[in-house]
Amino acid sequence: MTSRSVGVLLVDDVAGLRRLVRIALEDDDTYFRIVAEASNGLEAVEEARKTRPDIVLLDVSMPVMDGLEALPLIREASPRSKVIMFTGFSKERLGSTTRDLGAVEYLEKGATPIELRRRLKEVMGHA
Amino acid sequence: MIPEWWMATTLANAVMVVAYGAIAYHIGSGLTGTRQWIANPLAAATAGIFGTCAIGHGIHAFHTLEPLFEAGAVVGVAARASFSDPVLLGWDVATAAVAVWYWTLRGRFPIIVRGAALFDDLQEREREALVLNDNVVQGLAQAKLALEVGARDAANEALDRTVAASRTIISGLIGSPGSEAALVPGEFRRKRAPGGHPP
Repeated sequence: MTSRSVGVLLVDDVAGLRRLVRIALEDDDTYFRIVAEASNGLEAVEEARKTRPDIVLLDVSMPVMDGLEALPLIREASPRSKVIMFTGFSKERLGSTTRDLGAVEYLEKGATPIELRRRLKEVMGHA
Repeated sequence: MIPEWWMATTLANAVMVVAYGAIAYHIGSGLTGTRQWIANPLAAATAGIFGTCAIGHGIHAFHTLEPLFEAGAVVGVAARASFSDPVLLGWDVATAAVAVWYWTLRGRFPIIVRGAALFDDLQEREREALVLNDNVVQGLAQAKLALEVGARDAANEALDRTVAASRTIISGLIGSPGSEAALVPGEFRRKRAPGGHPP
């Protein structure tokens, strides 16, 4: 376990879901810290540029700019951030596309909080 | 000029060029308009078949006209001799008739020919998939997560919203309110058990 908490940028157009993911992640003592939230891809790029999060949890289907459009821009705005897709679409359908665009992990919505935290920790190399 | 049989074959090929070319153009413009040249390989190949056939038949017809320009007279004379074959003439006339018939079907069966319509189905499926994702999958995922973190009210709210959205989507998919007449007894007979397994 590191002494510094892992900063997470939550990107999802459903406010209720962002709130639940925040509860799920921050429930695990102080390991994760939600540094910002965004409700579309455009906001996500701006927040990534401002906050330089360790992890960006990125939805795909969103208004204004979708996750696939935002992903390379987020990588450009904050190159050290690890982008994890968090979406209702199956990994079979979009996994390789998002990996090619720079995502390091793909989580299908429906994962339990334990699974969510475990996969994020794996990405940070702290599993 | 004395009419000869090769002229009829050339005319039939010219008709094919126009019909096939028009079909290829319509499919191609639909693909361009919907930016689906890569995403819809079946339609792209269909446009390609019609387009290459139009070019091929155009070349055949052109060969018979080459003696008019002196250059290529040998090829042209040979082409005219070939086009005078009654069997070839018969087939080319039949092919030209089918090409024109196919073209005239575009109004009744736009999915066959009319460019954009050929791909509307694909786009519509994508739209429906997005609607299902945004309203059903997201809602269920949210409800599950809410239950996992102990937010029972939030879970119920998400489930209520998802059930309502599902009902709306399904009603829309099985027809507009004015089309209930099409839903006759037997329409709702399940072909697959819930979960996608055969009943």
